[in-house]
Amino acid sequence: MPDAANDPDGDQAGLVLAWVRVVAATAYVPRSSTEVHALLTGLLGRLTTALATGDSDSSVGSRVGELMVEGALTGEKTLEGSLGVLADGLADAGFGARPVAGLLASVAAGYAAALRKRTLAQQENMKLALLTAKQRAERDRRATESRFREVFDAAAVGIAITELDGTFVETNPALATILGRPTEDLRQRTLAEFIADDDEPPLVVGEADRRRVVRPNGDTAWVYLTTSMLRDDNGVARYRVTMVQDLSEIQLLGNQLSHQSLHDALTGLPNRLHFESRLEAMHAQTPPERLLTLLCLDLDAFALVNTTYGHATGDRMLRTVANRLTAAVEGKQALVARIGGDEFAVLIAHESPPPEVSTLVSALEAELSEPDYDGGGVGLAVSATTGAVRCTKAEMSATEMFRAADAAQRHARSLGRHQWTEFDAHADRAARKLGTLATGLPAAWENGELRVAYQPVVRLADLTTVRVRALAHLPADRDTAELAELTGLSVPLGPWLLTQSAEHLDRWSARFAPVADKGEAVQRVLLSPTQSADADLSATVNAVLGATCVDPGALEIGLDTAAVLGCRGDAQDNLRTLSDIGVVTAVHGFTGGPREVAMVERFGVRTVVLSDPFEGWRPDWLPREAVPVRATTELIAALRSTGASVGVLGVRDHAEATWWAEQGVRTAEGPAFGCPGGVDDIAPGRG
Amino acid sequence: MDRAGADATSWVPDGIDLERPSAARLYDYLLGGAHNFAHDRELAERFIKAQPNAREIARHNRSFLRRSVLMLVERGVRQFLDLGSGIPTVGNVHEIAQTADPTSRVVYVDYEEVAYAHSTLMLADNPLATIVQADLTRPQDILDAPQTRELLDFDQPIGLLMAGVFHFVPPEKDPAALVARYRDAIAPGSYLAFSQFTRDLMPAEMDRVVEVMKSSRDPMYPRSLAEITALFAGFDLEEPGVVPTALWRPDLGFDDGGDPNRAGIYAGVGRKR
Repeated sequence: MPDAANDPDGDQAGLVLAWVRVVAATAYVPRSSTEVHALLTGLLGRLTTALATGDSDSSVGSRVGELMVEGALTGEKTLEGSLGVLADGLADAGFGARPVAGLLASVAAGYAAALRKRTLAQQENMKLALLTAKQRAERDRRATESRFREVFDAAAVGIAITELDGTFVETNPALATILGRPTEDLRQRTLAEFIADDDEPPLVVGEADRRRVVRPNGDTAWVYLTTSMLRDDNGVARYRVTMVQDLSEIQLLGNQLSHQSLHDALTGLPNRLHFESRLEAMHAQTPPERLLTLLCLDLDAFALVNTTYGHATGDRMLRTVANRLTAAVEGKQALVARIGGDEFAVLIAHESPPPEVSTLVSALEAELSEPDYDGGGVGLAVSATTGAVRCTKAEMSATEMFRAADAAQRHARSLGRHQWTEFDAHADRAARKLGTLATGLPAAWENGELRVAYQPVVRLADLTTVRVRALAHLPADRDTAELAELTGLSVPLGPWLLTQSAEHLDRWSARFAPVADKGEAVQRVLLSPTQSADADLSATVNAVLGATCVDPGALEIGLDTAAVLGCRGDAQDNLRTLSDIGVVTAVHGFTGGPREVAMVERFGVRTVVLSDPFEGWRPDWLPREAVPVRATTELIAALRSTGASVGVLGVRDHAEATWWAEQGVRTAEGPAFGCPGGVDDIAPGRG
Repeated sequence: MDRAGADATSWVPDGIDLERPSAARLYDYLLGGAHNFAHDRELAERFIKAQPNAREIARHNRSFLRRSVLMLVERGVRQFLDLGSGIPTVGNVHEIAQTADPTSRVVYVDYEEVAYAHSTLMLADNPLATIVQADLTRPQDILDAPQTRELLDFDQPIGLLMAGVFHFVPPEKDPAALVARYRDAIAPGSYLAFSQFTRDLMPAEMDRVVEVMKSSRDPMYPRSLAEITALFAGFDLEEPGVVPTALWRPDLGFDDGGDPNRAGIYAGVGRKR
């Protein structure tokens, strides 16, 4: 036997390295090279030992093949490559070709058997893994099924799964209850057998239909039937599912829902929708000679109560009003409803000659104005603005009545807070005319019916008229500017107003000279948003001033705050240019946001006209510590610190004027100082 | 089950579509495993035709995974999140890591059913390793999975493994944002081991492979060296940077004499800052 076989450090070491290289190039072995080296050295040792001892038993070779597979030396070309280097290496080491070939053949056989076993094991493993996964899926499916079963059995709705011909396949307990029969009695029968009206057209899939079912005692009961199809994987209809709802139960539920949809949750009173139908009904049932009175009440300054005292207080106030109105008409054939956020309606069908409407309204107002004290001791007296209508049913339909009371209420509102008016056809016509005026304004413009009117502007410090405001005026009692904005006539109206009023500029200058402070403007024009944004505004003003030779400082022009702030059109440029020309710049519609204040400072605006900060509520009646009051006072101070003077509109009387004066407001307009009039209606001096 | 050939496939869960080959089963076949179906093997043969080096590439990638896990273990990392772990064949991450330290914890993630089913079975008795069946492009699903939260401590360094999987993430899934999402979830001192196919090394073969894989449920998107390096944003690359898998800290005793540039896949490991 050659010595080489016993020389592990000689050629065999080279052979191991060659083998390692074959393995590295053909198989992924999850070991380090050192470990692989040791493994192959061991395997080679087994082979050389077998050859050296002439052991012809094939088990050594096949064991080496098995160990190769176990060691993951299983790349596609690993066996081939390994046998190659082994054949060459062993031959070089001097072993006989025949024994080597025999040994390597048994290596190959052992390798193949082990690999087949491993492959089968892996396949078996995968099969097991997938089977487990499938079982889990099935378990989930069974869980789903049992959940479905739970729902099916516990549902209050009757459920029937039927063949396409209607034969029951499965029914749930609820269906048995609805049909009044035990489940066993339903087997092999069809749903149609239990339907009373069998001449009805068949049920349409997906649509609910109302049918009667017959119970064993011959009674019938209304049910809702809804049917749908169960389809198999290929989309072919296999079964029909029918849901059967007992209508008598739905009826009960429906009643509850209808109460909720017809009543106001806060006060428990009927809501507007419900009121309209009740009004209709009462109107129809009232004998022809009897009178009906309908009052629509709108609470004054309710939003202010909400913001000042909080919503809880607001809600309490609404409930109080509801209770008091209900109490006030108790014993009468009457109906109280909440028809809006802060609006209530009272409908009375009089059985005997009724008291005057004014008496009725006064009685309700007295009831409401009684202060209501809550735990915190805040006493809230409520006032309302009321519209009333009284008629027999022949005179007006229910709808007309409601509309009339509403119109009267709005008319009363236009007169101020805490007012009431009874509907009269004349006032209604006037209001309707206002509506037509808006659309008729272009015609009035064409026909030259528009006039310039002047309203006094008073210096609050001494209540002296120091200025006038020019307004476009129609004979109807309504600020035209608002209408103009609605009809699109606004832009031409701006230059028109400036030009027309300019005629009187020098007259005003002369008239106010004795009383005016130095540099005080004598005429004010407040422009609408569209006019404020007009690109031709400064050109118009220049032309007007050029034609009159009056100092530009005599004219005060107010732009709309929102238009300037929102960079509408050329509004910001206009404000700058007017200031450059020397006109007294003003902004109106000022609500007092920080950006608005910053704008006043940035543009050096001379006059700021506040937009009604208290929603028409009298500020002199509000507590000094109320947040809106404090905020307004601080706003006025902030504006004055920028050098602007502050003006207000719509001042009702001298008490209110004094209040504003105390807050540092400089000028005011309003009913307290006179309404719009002609040139000769204005006198300088005390208003 | 009433489809034809029910006997042959009755053990296959309904969710598995035997007609559509999967990358996980193809990879298993390339590594010499038997966890695959006829359609997978057919695809694999087309893959090998397009890229004759396919087996070597798979081998090198698997070796990179092993070497990178061993390196992370050396650096003290004892928990691993292996995204796109595939079918467990030989040399799985938990075997490598738990051999080094039996307390190592591993969460595997794969969305392929066979990979999931197989891993579930294999890990049934291993309380420190588990698999989440999820799509790696939905990081929240994985990071929030109860198994993940139970096994991994996100306050301690984690070995984030994305070996040979990101080439299945299309550009519209925003790969950079995906990696970032995982990066942000792991503690500083964590590692990212990353490898993916590139066109830089063997463009013609890669183009053919992309074409072949279009018919599978896992189409491929090779990336350039620059694109792959960019994915390591927020990580400090460990030596030798992003290189062909065969050149990443090779086991010199395993030199197969092949050209390392034929590894087809770039690999790198980075440490989170």
